[in-house]
Amino acid sequence: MIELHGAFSHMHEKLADYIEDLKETTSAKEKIESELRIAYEIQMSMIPHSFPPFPNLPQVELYAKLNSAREVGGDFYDFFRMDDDKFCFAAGDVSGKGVPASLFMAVTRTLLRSIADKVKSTRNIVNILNKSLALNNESRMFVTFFMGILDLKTGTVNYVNAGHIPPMLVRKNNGIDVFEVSKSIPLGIQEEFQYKEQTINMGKGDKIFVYTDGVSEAENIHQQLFGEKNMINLIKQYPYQNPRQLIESIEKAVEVHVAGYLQSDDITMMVIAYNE
Amino acid sequence: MEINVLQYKDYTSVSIQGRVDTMTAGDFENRLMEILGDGVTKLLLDCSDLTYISSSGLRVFLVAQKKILATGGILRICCLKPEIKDIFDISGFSVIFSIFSDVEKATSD
Repeated sequence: MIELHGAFSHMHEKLADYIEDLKETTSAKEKIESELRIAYEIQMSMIPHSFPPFPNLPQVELYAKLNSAREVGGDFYDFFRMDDDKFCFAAGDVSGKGVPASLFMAVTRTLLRSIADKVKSTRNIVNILNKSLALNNESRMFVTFFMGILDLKTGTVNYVNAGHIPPMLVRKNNGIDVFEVSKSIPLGIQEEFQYKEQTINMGKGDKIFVYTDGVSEAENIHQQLFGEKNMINLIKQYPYQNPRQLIESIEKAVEVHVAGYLQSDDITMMVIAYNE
Repeated sequence: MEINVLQYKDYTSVSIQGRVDTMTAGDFENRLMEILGDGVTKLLLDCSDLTYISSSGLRVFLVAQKKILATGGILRICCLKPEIKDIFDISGFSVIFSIFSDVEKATSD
């Protein structure tokens, strides 16, 4: 009888300890989750969200969307005016996922804006950005990056690609040209790497489609990727859609393909149209 | 993801099997750092059975290369499957690493 009492008392103690541990773990978990929610908000506020962004600039129409796989992640896009006639747009994909990637994303985006405030050539901006990221980078994080500066008067785009998936130029007559990119590495790896600037010309009615590999590599439960071909066919299917409509069409198609399977990577898309 | 280590000529050859992604990259990094910690000067990453690598995995390759270069060593990669070689090409990593088509070429200094 005394033994049974002892056993029950011991169990009672153990149960009380367990409940305390559980409360502590749950509360720690809730704390992390709430911090992540706030981090998400901070990160999202770094990405321009109001569309149309330049109601007074009829030559350019733009829409962009970022769907993060986790609360915070390493994808980003950005765009801003430079002087009266120039317009800068960029997208990037930091290595890895979650909190570490998001920290590096925040640094990259902030550096980009502050460098572009003083430096106006695409190549110089990217070279300086790369150097800054490569210094003090013990963890060897890197970011694939694409940046273009569109001259609103002429339709010329000067661009630099750093290991990122080449964007597509969707011609008004519905041909699709993949941007030609010289061999380059992502930002943050080799301090002294010299990035090359290239040029492409947009005609009135053309669109540029910039994206991260989360789109083409979106997979379903059978591990089948959405694929570049699907994207190209979709874009060809909707030649008259405006940037927002086009992104929403692709987003829907990706959703259908993925069919509820867990999103494994950030998905980012940006479409810039050069208007008549 | 599995790792097998063996000596081939004067190279420590690490054979990587399976996927290196966010799930497995941490473990992969720990194993590589352990191997490098034993004072390896010539490291070969044999990717014959590497089926997938994500940016997290590429980052580990970079960390390993930085570490071994700092002590005057060499890191080489061989036997990439075509899809994986594509990833290296598109991301520009073929420029950063010494990549060979097979073990013989990679170890014939």
